[in-house]
Amino acid sequence: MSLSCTWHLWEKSFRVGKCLPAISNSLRHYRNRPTHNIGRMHGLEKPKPPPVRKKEVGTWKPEEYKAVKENHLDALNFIVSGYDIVLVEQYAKFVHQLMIKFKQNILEVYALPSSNAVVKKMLGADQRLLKAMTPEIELTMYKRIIQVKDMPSQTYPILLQTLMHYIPQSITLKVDKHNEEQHLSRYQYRVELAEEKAMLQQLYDSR
Amino acid sequence: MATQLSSRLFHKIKQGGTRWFYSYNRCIVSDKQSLSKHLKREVHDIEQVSSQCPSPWMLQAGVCLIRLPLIEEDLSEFQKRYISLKEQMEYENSILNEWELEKIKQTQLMNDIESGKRDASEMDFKVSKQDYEDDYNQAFKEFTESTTELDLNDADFKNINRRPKDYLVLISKQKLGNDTVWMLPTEEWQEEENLRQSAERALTSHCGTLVDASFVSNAPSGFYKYKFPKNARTDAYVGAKLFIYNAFVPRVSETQSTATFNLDIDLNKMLDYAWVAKDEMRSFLKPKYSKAIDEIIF
Repeated sequence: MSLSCTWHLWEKSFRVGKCLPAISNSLRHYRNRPTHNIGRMHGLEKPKPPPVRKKEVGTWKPEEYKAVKENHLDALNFIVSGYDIVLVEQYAKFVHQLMIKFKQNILEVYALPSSNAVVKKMLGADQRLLKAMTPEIELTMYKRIIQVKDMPSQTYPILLQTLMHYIPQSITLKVDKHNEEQHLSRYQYRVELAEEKAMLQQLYDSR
Repeated sequence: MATQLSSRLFHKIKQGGTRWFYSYNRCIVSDKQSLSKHLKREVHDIEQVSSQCPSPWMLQAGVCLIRLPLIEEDLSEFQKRYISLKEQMEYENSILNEWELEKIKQTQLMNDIESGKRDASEMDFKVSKQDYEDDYNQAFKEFTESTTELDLNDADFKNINRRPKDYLVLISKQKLGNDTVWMLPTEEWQEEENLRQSAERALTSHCGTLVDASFVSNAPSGFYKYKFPKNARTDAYVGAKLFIYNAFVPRVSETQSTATFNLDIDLNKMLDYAWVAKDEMRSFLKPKYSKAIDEIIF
């Protein structure tokens, strides 16, 4: 249809009072216009199949993962040593109470025999030996040991740092693994047993 | 739904006639069910995700090298009063021991001998216990502690024995881009390495291998996250996550209270260093950084 024809029809519709007739220009493509091919389905669009569901619809199950195995430390010896017996005992008590509070597996709490250190005084020219004093001083080193087993490796650094914070002056704290040597150090040297063993050894050697 | 949409469009085009408009839905929208599924969160494998979209944070491990206090803190007023009260109570409730009983006997004997009640031959000691005590007190007065070992120069930040009653932390001046920044010795985390190993590497690379320090745990004690300044940000990294590890300078021996610090500085990395207490940290470090360290040390 020409342009004049459409204009006439439009005018006529106004005069008549009706709406525009449904003139479908779908046969024309208007290839130079930017709206060319809008809404046009070319070819056959196949519906995509729904994706394969591994789990049920509506429920989400988290994938199971393996938790890391808890690492427990072997038997540890907390050795508290110092020259002042009051401080040593008080601090050893503190260590013991801390382990109890943290619910650790405490195997043993014991004392090792005290060792004496003899300090001999050297007299200078300006120093004089006072009437009653001896030139030797005896210092005794006291030791207390708290043995803990199966401590989780996460709590060990925390406990260690708290112990380091609360340690008093002149006390040393040492943490060792418990082994055969440490166990044997608790026993006294048996004189008679050692002599008899030596005699036995001599008998074996003489054969 | 696809058919519905396109038909609506079609009608609009029909009605418009001379009116043309652009449509947005040029693509075919899949069915309603799958649309809602795309809105749900999907569960992915972590490794897959990290390789597809790596996080923009650089991982770093830092060392908080701590020197423990050498001397005990001063007691507060309340503590002093309580201790003196306790000592007084203990003294009043105590019983005389052997030494003191002997001393009393001896002084009594000497007084009797002087006054004539008893014979001089009854004296069974050469030196009385009171004499011993007098000598001990004399020696105590004459005793001087040797403080020549402790180098108590509090003003020198490089002296490890400064401020013997406080916890000190080692901080170093490093280059971050073009600026020099005071911070803990840090190293970037590399593949196939623990965070603890990278922290140890940070300590040895900044301070040298001669430094004797003991790490306490495999897990970090502190955390600090920061963004790089805008000109330093790259496509890969927006900022860094710093994991702080605690390490302690050990005591020299059981008897000595000093600490030694053998440095073998790599001047490329560590321009300057300082041993810094808690209250001094604010003047060196940024407030959030010093807060992160505050939470680690006591």
